Amino acid sequence: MDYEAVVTKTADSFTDLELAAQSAAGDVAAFERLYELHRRRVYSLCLRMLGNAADAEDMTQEVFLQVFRKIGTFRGEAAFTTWLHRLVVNQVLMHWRKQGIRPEETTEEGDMSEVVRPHPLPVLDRIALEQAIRRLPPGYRLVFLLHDVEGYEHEEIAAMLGCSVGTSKSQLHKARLKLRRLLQGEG
Amino acid sequence: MSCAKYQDRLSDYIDGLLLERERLDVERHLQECGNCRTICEDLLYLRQLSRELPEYEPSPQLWERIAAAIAAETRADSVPKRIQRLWMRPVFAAAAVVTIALLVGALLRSRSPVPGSQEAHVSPPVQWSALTPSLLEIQPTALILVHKPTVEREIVQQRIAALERQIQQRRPFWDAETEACFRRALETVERSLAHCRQGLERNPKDAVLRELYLGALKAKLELLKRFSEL
Repeated sequence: MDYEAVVTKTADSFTDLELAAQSAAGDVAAFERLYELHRRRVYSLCLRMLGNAADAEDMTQEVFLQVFRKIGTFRGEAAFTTWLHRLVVNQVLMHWRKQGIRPEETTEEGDMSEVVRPHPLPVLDRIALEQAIRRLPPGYRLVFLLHDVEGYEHEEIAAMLGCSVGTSKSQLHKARLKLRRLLQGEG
Repeated sequence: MSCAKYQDRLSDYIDGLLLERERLDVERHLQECGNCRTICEDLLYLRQLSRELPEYEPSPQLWERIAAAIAAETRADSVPKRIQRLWMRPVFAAAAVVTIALLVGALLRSRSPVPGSQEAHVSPPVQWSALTPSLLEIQPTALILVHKPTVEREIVQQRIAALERQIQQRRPFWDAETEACFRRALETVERSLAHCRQGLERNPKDAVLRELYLGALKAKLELLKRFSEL
């Protein structure tokens, strides 16, 4: 190993895996760098899931504490962001359990057979879309955010949520149709 | 197939998850059905907009809260546990052992008895408190070992010999990095041991030197122990 090269490497140039290894060895500055790199994604997902800034910050804090506690178990088999989002999803699911929400009960059976309105969507702005996302049932919202906003594949989402790929696909499709209906003003 | 059935497949269609024949089937239907085409275009539009949603910034105070919570947990989590975890890593183990060996060497040089003089016998005791706090935190075990010269040197040397045999068996399986790390650490420790032996040949009754020699032996034992597990 070229020790001098490691020493002269700037904090900005370390990979997530290197920063994770340094954090696991007790380097809080490396952990702060990881936080800086990923805070926006984690906070944005929490904010969209919970709907208000104070709760989103509390959950973001809890997520990063979990990351700090478990960073030694990250071996780099998956991307750090995938590992991180799995922790976010766990926090979301725990939050729901505390509130008595069961995501599997929010699938709104029957949506698929409903007549889908044919008239097209108006031109939308970001705020209207954000508001409509918040009105999605929690189960739909989580899959929609992970797939369409965060860009995960169904296999990854299924692994995070502990469900089948088919369920992830079905939830996403229902979420999109529901979102379209909400944006058409039909709730 | 009914429109409802085609609509069920629209998300998979826009995400490119359909088989070739399914995709062609959906495309044929979309050419013929204006309603399904509209829905498909809307889903594409929604997906595009969703991908462009911005990320939000948490308040600047959030890191301070997280850092404070980590500090509180770290204090609660016993420090020895964290040090143990650190110490379990061979590279850190080697580095700590080398630090101890260098320290022993530095102490030896600082004493630098004039050959033939009795200075070593009357010199003031080594100021252990002068060790840097960070070193005390890194390897308290080694410090305790250095502090306790009552441990019989022969026992330590027997354990070293046993571990050396064990390492000889495992060494061929190490990777180049492990081998280089071990060799560097061992050379440093051996240098300290050699200095101690030379000093003891001149002044066999020097109690401080005997302590330093035992400390260096213990550092070597610790190094061998860690690498014998690899």
